[in-house]
Amino acid sequence: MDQTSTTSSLLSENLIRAAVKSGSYGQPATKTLDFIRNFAAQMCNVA
Amino acid sequence: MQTLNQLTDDQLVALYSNGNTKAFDTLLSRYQDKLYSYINFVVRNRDLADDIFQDTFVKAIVTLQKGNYTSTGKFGAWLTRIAHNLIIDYFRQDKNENTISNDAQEYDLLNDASLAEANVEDTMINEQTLRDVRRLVDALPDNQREVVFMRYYQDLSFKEIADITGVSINTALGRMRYALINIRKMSADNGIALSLAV
Repeated sequence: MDQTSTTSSLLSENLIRAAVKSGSYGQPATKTLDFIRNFAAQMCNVA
Repeated sequence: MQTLNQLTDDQLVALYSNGNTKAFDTLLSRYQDKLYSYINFVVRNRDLADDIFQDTFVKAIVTLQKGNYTSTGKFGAWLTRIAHNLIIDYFRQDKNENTISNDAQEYDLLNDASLAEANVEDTMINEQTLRDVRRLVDALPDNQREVVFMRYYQDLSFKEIADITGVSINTALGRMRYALINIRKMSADNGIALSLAV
């Protein structure tokens, strides 16, 4: 692989990384987080 | 005095195992966005992502409270492995119940009108390029998409990716290699430049 293709390869990898990083993939619903916190507390009391 | 946020994952796990629920809340806050992003990226359905996210933490909590968690300093990777296995279980079950192939979905993604428009748009801005590249990543086979996300979004090593997905390091590296080959091929086929305007 020559210098040009190596540079090109790194450039596109960096672009793909930037694209994936800049995406928005949402957040868990509040009710889901509340359920998990309550379950964790209940399991603490049971143990 | 150290606040909970300053403690390591393993220190928080130890505190939670001894009844400190605030320690668990700190762990949840620390990993909720990264874990949910991973799940939602893979399953592409918010309701399903919520269900799998919840099941992941339920399994984790039960394991922690039974004292079956082995501290390795890799709590985040451990959570991701639980989620990965739940996703595999879901799709295995879904495949048995639904014979529709996802080939059509991939075809549609590649033939999205905005991609075609981007092809003839001389003044493509960087944000559009990033969106286009995310579409290309989205069109990859699931096991390649997953490796790309783990590597580029979660910044995991190939050793960690291999451990989480239950494959050899060479297989994880191979999936990434094929992902990059496929992305470049799709970008060439669709006339999408893999570079940003500077």
